Amino acid sequence: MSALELRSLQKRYGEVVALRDVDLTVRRGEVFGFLGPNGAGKSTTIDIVLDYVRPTDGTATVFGLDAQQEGERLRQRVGALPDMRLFGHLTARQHVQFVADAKGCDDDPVALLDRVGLGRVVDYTADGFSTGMGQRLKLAMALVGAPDLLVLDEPSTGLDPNGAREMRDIVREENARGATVFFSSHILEQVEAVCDRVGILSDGEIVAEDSIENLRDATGTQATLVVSVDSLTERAVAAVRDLEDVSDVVADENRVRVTCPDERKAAVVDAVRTDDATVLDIESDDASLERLFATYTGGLR
Amino acid sequence: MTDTATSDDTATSDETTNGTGRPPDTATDTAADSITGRLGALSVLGRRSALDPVRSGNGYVTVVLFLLVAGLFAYTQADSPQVTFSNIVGIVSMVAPFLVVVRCADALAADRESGRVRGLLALPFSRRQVLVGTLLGRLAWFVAAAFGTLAVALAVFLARGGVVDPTASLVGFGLLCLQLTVYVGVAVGVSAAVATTARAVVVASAVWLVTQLFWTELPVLVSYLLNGFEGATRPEWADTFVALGPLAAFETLSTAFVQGGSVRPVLGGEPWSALVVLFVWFAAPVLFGLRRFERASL
Repeated sequence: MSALELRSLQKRYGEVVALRDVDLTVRRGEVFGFLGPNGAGKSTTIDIVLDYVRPTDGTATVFGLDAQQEGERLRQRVGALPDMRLFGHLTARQHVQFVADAKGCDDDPVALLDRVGLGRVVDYTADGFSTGMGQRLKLAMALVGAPDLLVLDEPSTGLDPNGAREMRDIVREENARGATVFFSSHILEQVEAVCDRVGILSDGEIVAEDSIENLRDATGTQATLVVSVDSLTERAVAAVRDLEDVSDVVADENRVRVTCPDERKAAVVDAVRTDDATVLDIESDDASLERLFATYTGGLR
Repeated sequence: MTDTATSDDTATSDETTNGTGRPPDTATDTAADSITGRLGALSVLGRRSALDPVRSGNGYVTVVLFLLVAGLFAYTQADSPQVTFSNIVGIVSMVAPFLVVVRCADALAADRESGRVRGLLALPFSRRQVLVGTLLGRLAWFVAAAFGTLAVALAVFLARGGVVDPTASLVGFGLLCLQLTVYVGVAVGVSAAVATTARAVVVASAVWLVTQLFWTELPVLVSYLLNGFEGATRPEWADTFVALGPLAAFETLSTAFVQGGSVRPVLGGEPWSALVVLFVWFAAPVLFGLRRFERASL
């Protein structure tokens, strides 16, 4: 049984179609990134899984539990970080304790707050928290009871780079203990860094569902590599041109520019050094993921 | 350091069965389905809702308003020969609906408007549990606030040499609790039915206005409209209609069981039939609110 399954999920708000026909399977034990531009329908999808809104058609199930029919049992096994507001007059500790009471588990609130970096403000009320602190608190609430599935809606919203990295570390730790993680994001680096697979949602439809490498291969998006050396020989340039999967080779004075897949970069550098040239600089334009995203969501075609 | 804690949980909890590909349904499902599980959910939600006015610091307004009415009357009326303490309880009962409507209409609507209710419903609660838990919690808070202020009023009353009629006062307090129950039901029901605090306050206040102030005038008003604005006669159904209002029902109970006077039969029956009327006034808004809340997009 898969961790999360969406079958022919549709949602219309009057004339507006939020989800057209979404089919998606998140396997047990994987970290799944749910990508898409703003307004693609990511939040609507998560809202249906958590039963905040009812689908016009189709089903959402988590570990075989239907989101509409068996919502309470479903949410017993899910740690969720939805788009929500905190209770301003409650302390961080009271928030986490409330979730522990709700789920009937005896997790130590202080330990969880320590883990998300709020160990020093456990007894402060949430109305004094910054967006980033609020996000950390929501994460701590999602972690209560070691849930089998984490559903995180844009978890890094409001976090600084350090916070975002810590968030990723926690996602990895949770995954390592056996949790499945499903998180939505429009930030590609976040997704690439932790996800086993991604689904790309565009205009209410899943336009791609695969690992990032496979998606790259499928779209043929490649990196641009520029290698500068102290002296560039004809033989070296010829060696580069002879490499498989390497194209658009342009050589001028002491630099070679090529377009190639990620895994061919080392071979290109080796070829440039055919006559024992010393490498001065390597520049790699790694916007490939951006391009990949744009290709699927219609931003660049 | 907390990582070890969580991995320990993993080893001991139902995660072990996950490896086999079967969900650990038995453990979690029975917990969520059992009666104790449901009561647990209600007590968690109820406690939150009851403590909310205290923790947020807004509850003092309610206490001050109760205290103003009860304390002022206890202070000024203590030496009046025909006033006993049960009269003070009765006066608090008359203002209670207004206080509840004003102070409780935001119960669910504010959480819904702000998105806090999404946080509650990310947890293993049903919407019905959230509504019932909120209702029980708020009711507990109002009963406690009324009890506390009446205790203060009693001290003032005694100190000023007032006459206390214990039985009538206790029955009167019971009726006050009944009155609170009906209007917490109205306020929470309305609050669950609408999406914003502003609407909840307007609708709940309107219900208070109609049921507490204008109910007895409604039959004449209707007759006035039906007669084309020319002379109003009191329609035949007026008495029955008035008896079906929460105000008359409360007064019937109060007269029959506190003051000990004779009352008109309620719908041709005993005075306690008024309890049925009050129950309907409690249950109808709650069920209406529940129906709307369960279908709402949050």
